Amino acid sequence: MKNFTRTNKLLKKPTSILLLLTVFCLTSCLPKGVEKADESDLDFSTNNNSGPETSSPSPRTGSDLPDDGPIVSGASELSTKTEILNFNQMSMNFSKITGVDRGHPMIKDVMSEVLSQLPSSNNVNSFTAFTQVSITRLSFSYCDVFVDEDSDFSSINYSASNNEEIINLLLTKTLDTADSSNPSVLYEDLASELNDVLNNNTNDPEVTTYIDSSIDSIGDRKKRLTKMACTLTLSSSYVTMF
Amino acid sequence: MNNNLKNQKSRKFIAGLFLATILGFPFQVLHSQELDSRLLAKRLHIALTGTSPSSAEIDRMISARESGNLRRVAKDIVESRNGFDNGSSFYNVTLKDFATPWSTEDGSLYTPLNDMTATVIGYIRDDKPFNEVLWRDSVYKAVGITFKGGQLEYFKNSEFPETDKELHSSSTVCQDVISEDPSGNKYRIWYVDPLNPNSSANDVNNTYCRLTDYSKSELEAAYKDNALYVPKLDKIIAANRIKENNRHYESLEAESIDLTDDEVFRETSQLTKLHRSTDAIAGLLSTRAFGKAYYSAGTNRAAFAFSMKNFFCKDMEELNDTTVPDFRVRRDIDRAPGGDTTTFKQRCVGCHAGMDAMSGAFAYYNYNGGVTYEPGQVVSKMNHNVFYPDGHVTIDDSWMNLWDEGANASLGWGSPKSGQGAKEFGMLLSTSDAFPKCMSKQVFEKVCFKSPTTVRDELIVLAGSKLLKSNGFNMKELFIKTAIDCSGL
Repeated sequence: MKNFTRTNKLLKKPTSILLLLTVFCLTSCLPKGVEKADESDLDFSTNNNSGPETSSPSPRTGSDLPDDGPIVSGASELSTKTEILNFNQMSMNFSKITGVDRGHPMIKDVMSEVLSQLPSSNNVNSFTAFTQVSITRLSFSYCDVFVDEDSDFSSINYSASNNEEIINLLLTKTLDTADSSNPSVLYEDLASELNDVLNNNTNDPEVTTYIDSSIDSIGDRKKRLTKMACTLTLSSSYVTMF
Repeated sequence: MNNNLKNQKSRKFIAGLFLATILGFPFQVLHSQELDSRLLAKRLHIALTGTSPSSAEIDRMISARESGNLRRVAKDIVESRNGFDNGSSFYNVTLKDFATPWSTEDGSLYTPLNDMTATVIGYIRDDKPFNEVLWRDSVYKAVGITFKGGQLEYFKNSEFPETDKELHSSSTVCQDVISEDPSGNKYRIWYVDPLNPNSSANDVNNTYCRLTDYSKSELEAAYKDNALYVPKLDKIIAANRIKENNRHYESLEAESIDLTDDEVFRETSQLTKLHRSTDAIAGLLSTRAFGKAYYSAGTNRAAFAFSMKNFFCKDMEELNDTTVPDFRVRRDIDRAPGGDTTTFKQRCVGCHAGMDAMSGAFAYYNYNGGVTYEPGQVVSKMNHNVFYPDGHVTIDDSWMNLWDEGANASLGWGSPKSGQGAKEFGMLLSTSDAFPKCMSKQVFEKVCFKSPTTVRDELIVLAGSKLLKSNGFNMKELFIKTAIDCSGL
């Protein structure tokens, strides 16, 4: 009830519209090229690995091939659906990315509050607006600890550093920028959005971060914005869906 | 800062996070065909561990696929070794999610770790024959030293007690620890080796010291609770007594204990931990979580019905066979519900004839905060309601398998055909053809993210079942093979 009340308060804000947009965004951003295959695409021959939309990998003929090797091969419809991480997988994934222990007191507290609203299955149809709220809260808790305790982030002088340094560090640590198969446009666009977030650019109609600049020092404000930018990446479908 | 301002700021901040989340990813994932194998590798990794691989890990997986070593690399993923860094996620996430639905009637994943799920995880981790988990004496828990057992003491490092000096100073390890904290502000724990069952407080060769990050108040609270201290991790685990409540396992989960570490999480006997008599011990069927779910209230039929569901993948409706004789149907089943005897003959008997004949195995079990077992004492709830006085009266824990013939013979029942108690019933389940098939099906659902519906799916499940029987019920291998088979990589 406590969580529900808190969530209701949030929904009184313009965020209710944002939540709907979130759902739209996360459902429209699902990986392309992973459409469901037809039954006719299935191939039961042992040595033909070609699937509906894959290049043809080499047949598994190595000496290490187990005696009772796979009875089927090739991309199947099993591997072409988009799924969402369940709550347990999500928390472990956040922990792996940030290096923050799942047993950290702050993580435990937030996890217990949002647990029932996080997905219990991998079926993406279970995704609701409440799910995204909960994912955002959980990812923020990880980012809060991560930015405070990570040695690289701790060494940043937030009052003096430029955004590029922070963004590069964020992208390297939270997204796999070394993965050359990811389109560079992903990083470029994301870097641009993160830059807006870090600038607290209230003039940008798409980015309104509501950080009150009169309260915190520049360094504190930038650090909070860094946590927010981290949350942006961690709670995104790039991390939470597959 | 006043509370209103704080709240306002907090709301605005979170609202900002939503917006940022929305805006960040309209451009995500512009995949091309060349990405497919990387996506498949990522899915395989997530299927096994629940976590995303790094690009280097994906490279290794694709390379292994091309050289025919994917099975070996998948094992590395599971065990988090040879360049794969997944911690304990296969055990703490995938296996926990796999076993958790068995420990509640509603099959919810939102259930904390418990003795039943912990034992499943331990069995799979240690490559034990998984069919034996249904009857063998085993329960997994954390290993450590209880605060009140006389094998652990704590001191502020600067307040070394003169009375214990002779004993403690005889351990060079203690001297080292004392010198590690020259300020003397930390607390030091002296303990007897928890991994050596024969060690005693008087044996200096098996006593050690270590500094702890816990404060005095935390240590005092742990003493009051008689909690368990795990020296290797410097962790306090709540409530060592697993018979009365589930706090021990909840604490393991809350502290994010690595279940792959066999110096911390290991097998022990259910005797004294859960039961006073060996007669009561029946693998998972005599764990506290199983009892809480299926021996609580009711008529103990749930223990049988959910054994069918969880270990044979069969709901009772699927097992309905009205051709089976009804002489073991108990007195609490109305033979003419609504005044119509045909309802009983055409519907009720289909389940109860077989179920009541076998659920006698649980006649001595009850749940009252913990599992109770009174040998020779049939729990009153099994004979309490009498709608048909000539029905079967349960007088002991004998059971017989009447479904060995008829429609349900296709389950490939094992042996024995009849017996006494839950342990022998567990043996029956574990030697049946339906058990490996069901395990293979559930593993498929876990790592393939769907139920088997197509011929291809069924073939994968069948192959998994065959593998399980041929490799000594090694579940880890089943997970790996099934995940690879349906990954498409």
